[in-house]
Amino acid sequence: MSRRKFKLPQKQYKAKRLTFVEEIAMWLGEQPDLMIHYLKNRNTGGTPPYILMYLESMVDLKKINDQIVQTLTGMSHEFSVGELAERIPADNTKEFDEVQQAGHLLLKGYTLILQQRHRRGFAVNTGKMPQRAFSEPEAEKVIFGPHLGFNEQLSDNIALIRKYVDRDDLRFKSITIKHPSDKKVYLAYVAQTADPQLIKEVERRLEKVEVKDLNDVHYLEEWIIDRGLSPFPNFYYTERPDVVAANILEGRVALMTGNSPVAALLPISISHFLMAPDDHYYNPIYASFLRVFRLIAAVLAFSVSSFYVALTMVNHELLPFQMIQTIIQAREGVPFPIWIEVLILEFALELVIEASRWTPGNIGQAITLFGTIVVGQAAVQAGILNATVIVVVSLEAIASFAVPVYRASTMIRLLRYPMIILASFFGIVGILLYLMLIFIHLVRKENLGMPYLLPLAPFDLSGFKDTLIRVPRKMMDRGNLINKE
Amino acid sequence: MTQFNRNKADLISFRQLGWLMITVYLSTGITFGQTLLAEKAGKSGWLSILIAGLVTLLLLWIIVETSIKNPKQSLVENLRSRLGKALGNIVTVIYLLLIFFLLIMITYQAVRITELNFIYIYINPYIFIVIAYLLVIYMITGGATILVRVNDTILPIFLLLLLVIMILDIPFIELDRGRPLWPGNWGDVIRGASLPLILFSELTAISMLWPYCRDHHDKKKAIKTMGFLVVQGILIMSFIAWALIITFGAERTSSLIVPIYYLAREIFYGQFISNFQILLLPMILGSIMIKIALFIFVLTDGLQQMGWSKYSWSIPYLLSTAVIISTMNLIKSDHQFSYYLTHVSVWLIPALFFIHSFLWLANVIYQRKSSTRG
Amino acid sequence: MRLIYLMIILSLFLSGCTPPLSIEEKAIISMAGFDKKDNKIQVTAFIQNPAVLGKARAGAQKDERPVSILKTEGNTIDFAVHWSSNFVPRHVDWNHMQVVILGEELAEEGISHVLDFIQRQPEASTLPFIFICKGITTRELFERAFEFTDSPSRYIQEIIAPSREHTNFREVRVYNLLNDLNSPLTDIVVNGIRLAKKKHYVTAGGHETFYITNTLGVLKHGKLAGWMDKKASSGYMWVKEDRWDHAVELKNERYKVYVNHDITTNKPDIKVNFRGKDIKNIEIEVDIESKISEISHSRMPLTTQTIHLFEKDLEVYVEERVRHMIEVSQKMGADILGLGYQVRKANQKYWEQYKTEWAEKIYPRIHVDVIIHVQVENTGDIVEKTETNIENK
Repeated sequence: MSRRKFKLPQKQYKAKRLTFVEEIAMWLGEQPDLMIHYLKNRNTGGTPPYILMYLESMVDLKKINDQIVQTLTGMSHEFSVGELAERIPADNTKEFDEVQQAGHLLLKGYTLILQQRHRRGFAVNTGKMPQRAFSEPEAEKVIFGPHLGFNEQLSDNIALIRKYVDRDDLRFKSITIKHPSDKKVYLAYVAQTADPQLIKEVERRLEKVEVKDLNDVHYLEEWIIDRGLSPFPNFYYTERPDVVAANILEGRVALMTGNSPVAALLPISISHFLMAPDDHYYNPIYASFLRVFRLIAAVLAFSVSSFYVALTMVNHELLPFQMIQTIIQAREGVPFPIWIEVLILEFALELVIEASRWTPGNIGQAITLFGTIVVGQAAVQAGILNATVIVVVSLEAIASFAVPVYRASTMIRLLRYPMIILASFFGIVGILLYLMLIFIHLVRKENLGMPYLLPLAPFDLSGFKDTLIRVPRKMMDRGNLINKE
Repeated sequence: MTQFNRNKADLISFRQLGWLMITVYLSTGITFGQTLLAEKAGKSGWLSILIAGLVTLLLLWIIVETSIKNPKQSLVENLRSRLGKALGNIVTVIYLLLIFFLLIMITYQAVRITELNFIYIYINPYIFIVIAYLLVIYMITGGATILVRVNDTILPIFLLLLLVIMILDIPFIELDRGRPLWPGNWGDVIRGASLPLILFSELTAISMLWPYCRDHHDKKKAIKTMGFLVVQGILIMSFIAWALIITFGAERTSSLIVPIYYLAREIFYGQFISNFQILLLPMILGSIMIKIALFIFVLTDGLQQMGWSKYSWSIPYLLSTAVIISTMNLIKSDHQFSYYLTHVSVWLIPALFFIHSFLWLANVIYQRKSSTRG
Repeated sequence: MRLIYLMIILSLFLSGCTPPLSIEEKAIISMAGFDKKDNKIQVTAFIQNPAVLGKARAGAQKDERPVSILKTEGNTIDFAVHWSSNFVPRHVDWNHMQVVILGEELAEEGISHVLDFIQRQPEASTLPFIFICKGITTRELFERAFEFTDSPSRYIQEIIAPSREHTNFREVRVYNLLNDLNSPLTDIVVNGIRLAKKKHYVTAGGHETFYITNTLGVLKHGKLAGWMDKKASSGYMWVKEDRWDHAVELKNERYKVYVNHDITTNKPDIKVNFRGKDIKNIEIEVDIESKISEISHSRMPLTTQTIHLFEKDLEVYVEERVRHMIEVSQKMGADILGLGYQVRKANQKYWEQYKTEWAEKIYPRIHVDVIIHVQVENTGDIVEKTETNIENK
């Protein structure tokens, strides 16, 4: 067997008419792992009737040997390409007759089988993708329930969803997206519960997408969402098959691309950001308590510092006399106005969060320690900040981490800065006006035709079954099984 | 989570319309309405509200009756198609001008309330009004549905706050303070009833929202749902009037600018709630905002239906600028003018009544004509 | 258009607004006194400065006190305070006033002026307690308080807390006065405040303190009509106030023992009886329940008969006080119990006819019957004195 690495033909060969193999190699350009394999038939001998082409790093050599080389070398006489297809024991095969087609197939891990003097060929999928084992996603850990997450292999992820949903009307729709090499995305939904109009709408929007690059499903969000900028997250991203299964059973659509362990769930409303993956594994009373608790945490994270500023700077008649005395005592000698003090500390908080995100784990501890000592103690003792502000901002920080979806907690942290400034000028009224603005924005916001504030606006009592509280499964499932039609 | 019904997405239900009406009552009822009421009707103001409520139900019936005849047309379109273009336009302009006057009145009162009660010297109250108007425009450019949905979510919070204030106030109410609530003079009661009527005349604004309603041909449902909610709103208002007079007496209520604010000022629970009244601010300003939004929507919609749709995007901006400027002038000018305006507004009720009844009559005549022809 | 609109708003924003002052930049008034002198309002106020405590905590030398005293006067309160801003270090703030003390002279002329001022402060609370100085001017009282305490308003609140239970303390806040002055049917009573005698309570520095009096001042139409004595004040409290946990010590003449009653409830009821068109009499009925908490004699059996005797004692005690109170109030012509309202409730026509003459002519001459029912709860725990049992063993 002669195996050699292919070298690009030199310029002097240009005048000569290139063979099909050479043309394919030219199209691919500089590919150091391109292998061309001239097979000699044991029986016939003489000129090698078949040529194999593959990219060494992309293929499973054992598969090539078992499925192709063994078969081809054992043949009694030479067959045409069409005949070969029936004889090679591989399932994923394709025929081609163009250079570009052949190149794309090579890049996807196919092995090409060509014949001298023919401009046609036959490709067998021998791809071997680098692959990761299933593990629990970092960002969505649960105490109880399945400890399983997607990996970067689309087929594996689809298999996982099939396993979890286990219904005969589970559908996967593949949609090709305009991309230099025609990427495919998959829509997973359950035919009975999903709204056909919704699927049509998603398809329509996906068809308009033109991406240069598609490494992950996140790239699609800004293409699909409705018009207008908004700080609020539009999709719910998850790496957990059980979450995807639960959501598509409720009528949502999961959007998946290859090479990414993340599935996007759409359309969602704001109540999704209070839900943790393991809410359904707890007692309904406790789960409801947790959800209400998270809502309180979100409200605290959003508003504590602004209310502090409003109460100490503008509306201090709302504070009891004793508390005022304590705050004034603590503020003795602090050089900044209260709102600047709060902003400084908020900024320091963001710094600590961002710094600890990028530092390796063992150095990260140093940041926490330094942050605690510098901000917590030294700043108060030096009289730069006052202790009550530190209590307020750290309460807020802790509350923001109690929101289960990281995306939502970052958004909350971002949105409170304007509110602090407004509160320092206008007090409670400023807070009110800002809240109204956010509120009107949320009411106006739609997510693929679904109001973002559902079930609150428009009000829908039955929608509260699994949003702010979680009713027992008995009550929830009963409604779902007797779904329309 | 249940499926969201896409077919009903952009339409308003009667329940939502009823809630909007309650907000409209509250915005006036908890602010200056009670003061005027106590001034006119004295201690039996709550009874005046109930009597005015009966008239309101009649008004509601007329509105439903006129709107149901041509459910796909708003009041302005209806007027124009029934009365002919010229006459219809004149009546429409009168109607819209009345709404515009009401708008100025509300804005004026809102500025006055913020100026006198809540805002300290270093902040200009106009800024609040300008910001409030901007928010209102942001709200109404989303359409009637957005306005109604915002109200849907804010109103329960208001009602909860109101309830909390009323409950917290119970220990401070002394029933034996000597204020019998039964009227000595029924003339006062009738005179007092004219005031809540101003408030209820704002109901006519909802006939502009009729085409956006989900079941706009279902008369029975409309009367049933909205009538029930209107009665609820009236009872809430009446209860507030009763509680105020029980605690303050008519004399003091009439001397206060926002009586309910003073009611909340008495609440005291140790170290936690010392000055509760500031929490009323969101309620008062928020409900006034929604009312302003409703009126600006009615005006914008009305003008567009009169053929101004070319300038549709700029109408709300122009309108709000006009209202703010005229309110500013009003405040700077003599106080007498506002007094005059308040009295002009008394003419609003018969005017709005007249317009609606006129339309109703026109509808009846038109139908009779067409039926005899057929 | 939208841009223009934004510009208008931005210009508005940038023109008239400055960030407000935060709390430590304000001079918070914790307690204020108002008096009249030479036809001018004399304002004395305690200004709290807690920042000093913060300094002291940080280790700095404590050469300042956390409270300072503001003395100013003028024809109107607000002007007087504004004028004083020349020598007060920070902006005066009325929001957190805890106690208001009125001078006797001012009270006699009418308190509505002060109340009007408080009500018109948009953010001031109407919650402060209100007292009238007795036998001392407000300024003197404030100066005395300044000598021995750093937080005078708190000192007053501390002495109020126990007096709710054991003395004739009627809780009157500013809003009570505001509401009552607007309803002309009832006259109100307010506690006095006066210097304590040295033997009762002396501070570490040997300064004289003050205390809430057991006598109540009667405000007739917002003017101080006079002071009721201790006995009458007590009578008023039995009818108007909840006397829960109130202790009464009585001597039983027959057994020669002292018995202490611990009151659990007192329910007053006022009835107006008519004879023809005129009022026959007014009945004030008070149902009292009490527990016996202590008996001074060691061998005193607690049987139904003895309990009945003790009940009688208490009945006589309360009745005497209530009758005295009515006599005093009739002399003053101040309807402090709100009997006029009861008359109005009973007979509207009569009231409409005579309401102008009620306070001056009818009320002083009306016949009031006082009926007291006392029931001593026999708890069943201890029927006889414990000592007897112990001695027998």
